Amino acid sequence: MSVAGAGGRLRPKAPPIVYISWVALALMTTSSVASLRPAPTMAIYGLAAVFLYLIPAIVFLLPTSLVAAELASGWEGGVYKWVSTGISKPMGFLAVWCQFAMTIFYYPSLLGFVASTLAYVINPDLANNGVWTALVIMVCYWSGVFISSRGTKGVAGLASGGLIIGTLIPGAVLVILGAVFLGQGNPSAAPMTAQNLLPQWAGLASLVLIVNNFLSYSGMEMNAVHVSSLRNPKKDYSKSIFLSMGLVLLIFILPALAIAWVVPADQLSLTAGVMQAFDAVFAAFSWQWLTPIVGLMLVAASLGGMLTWLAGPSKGLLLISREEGYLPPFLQKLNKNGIQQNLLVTQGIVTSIIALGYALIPDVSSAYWIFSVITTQVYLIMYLLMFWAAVQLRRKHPEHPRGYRAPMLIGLCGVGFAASLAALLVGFIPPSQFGGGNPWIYFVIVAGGALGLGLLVPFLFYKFRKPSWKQPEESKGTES
Amino acid sequence: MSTGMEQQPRRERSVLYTIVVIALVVLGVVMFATWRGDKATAEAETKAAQLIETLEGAGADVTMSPEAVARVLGTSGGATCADPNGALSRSTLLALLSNGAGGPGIRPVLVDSRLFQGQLAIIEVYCPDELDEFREFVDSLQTTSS
Repeated sequence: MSVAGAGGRLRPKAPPIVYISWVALALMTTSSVASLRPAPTMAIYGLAAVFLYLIPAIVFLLPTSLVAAELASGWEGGVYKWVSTGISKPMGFLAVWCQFAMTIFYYPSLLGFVASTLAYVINPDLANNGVWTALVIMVCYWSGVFISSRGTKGVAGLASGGLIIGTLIPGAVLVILGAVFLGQGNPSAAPMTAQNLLPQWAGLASLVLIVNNFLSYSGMEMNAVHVSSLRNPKKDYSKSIFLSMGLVLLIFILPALAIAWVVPADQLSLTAGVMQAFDAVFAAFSWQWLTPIVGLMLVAASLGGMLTWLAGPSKGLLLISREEGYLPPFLQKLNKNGIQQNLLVTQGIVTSIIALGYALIPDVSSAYWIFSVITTQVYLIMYLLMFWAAVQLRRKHPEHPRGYRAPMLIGLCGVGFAASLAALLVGFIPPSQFGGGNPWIYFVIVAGGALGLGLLVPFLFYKFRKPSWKQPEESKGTES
Repeated sequence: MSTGMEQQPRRERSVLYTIVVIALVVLGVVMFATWRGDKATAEAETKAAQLIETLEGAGADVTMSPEAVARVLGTSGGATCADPNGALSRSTLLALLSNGAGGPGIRPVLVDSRLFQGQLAIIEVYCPDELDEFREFVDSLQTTSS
């Protein structure tokens, strides 16, 4: 297709810009953060699960979401742009690197969950088969890379679909069946009285659980990198974040309660997790034919969530690298759809090596939980930078137009920063998995891992950056 | 500063959605065809009653009927007894001893020993050969008691 230029000569017509709706972005954000996976584990706390989600929501979800809404409505580009403008370019790179690096170890465990969900239905013996797990991880992950390399609109559609089909519908079914179970006159398996509103205080363990639950809401800011894909970023992002906040809370709290009504986690196998919880609820109604359907739905939701994490942080890393020359040109190359395909593929190769180790080497899979500690520590560095940057931006650029201004921003940032710092410190307390090991060894492992992944690697990128690697700004297409 | 606006033809997206839907439908058919919900046979119900007794002995308040339990666990213990001491099973279990996150915020915590009660009871009744090793593993973890 072509149009006549000024001189009457034909020039190619720019392809239309692809926009996503604010609802799609809200569903993408929800898909990034929430799932039914933790419902059986949280069901053991019964009614106290509400408290365990609400307190973190007040001190972490609310500040993160409102601050991200203000920043995204004023500055396009996501966390790298906010921190770069508010603090400095190197800090902006550090922030987006922390967001990006955190995902590398997330995919194998997420896709391992997909493999075990499929195995629960197809053949339970497959759950412990390394080749099966490796195969599922590879096929799903590289399919995700391919889909992400086609464009954000496609990712938004599939992530939204995955959330609706795989989280909202099964979650609603679980809650409805739980309510029917109680309505039939059955007693709730977990007591639901006012005395059970608060979790039993177990000292340090309770503190660790409550503070670590702040991280349940991590990722709310991640899709702000796509704010430029909205038609009206200044207004639409705030609407999107408020909708996703509500959805995230509903998805976390209600299904956990429903499981607690019918069959609490202390009567289930933890390893079989959410699938056995659904199976048990369906068995109570003689509806087990629904189990494979729900299994498929949960797989769809997990894959949708994976797509959002593939598409988001790598885009942020690309944006600042093009601006500052932090990555070699090869990694900054865009495909015909305007997507950072080489970066996605490179990330995929690293992830594949880690995933194959997870699936095929017993020592790696048994110690894999430690990576989730290290990566969440790294991710918290990003939150500290984000809250700091938000305060700086209010001070330095008070008149900069913002579509949404968060109320009491300084206070919100203070609470969010303190919550992030608390979670960072609590991350050094050895969890159950560490057994009775020396806490100082644990501290050294976590600190060393977090410093290496979160500070040393980005420092090396920064040190070896080249001005010649900066990419000129590209012209925008025409609006469709 | 930009990377240039993304451009993805509508037709390409339609093809993508179609392929994904077809792949999920095929997977669904495979899952439906291979799914064998356990039957509540007399033997399965006997084992279920034994499990309920074990759980109640451990202090749990079991509301599920033996028939419903039998439909989930059958006579073999289902997924719970599929190599519970294997490396990947252990990895899955360790990953689930975590906070309430559903995304990348998943992080290990100090868990209540009650979390293992159900699994230990199921293994004890349905695959007792695995019990000692599994109990040893659970004992090696640091837990709190409610």
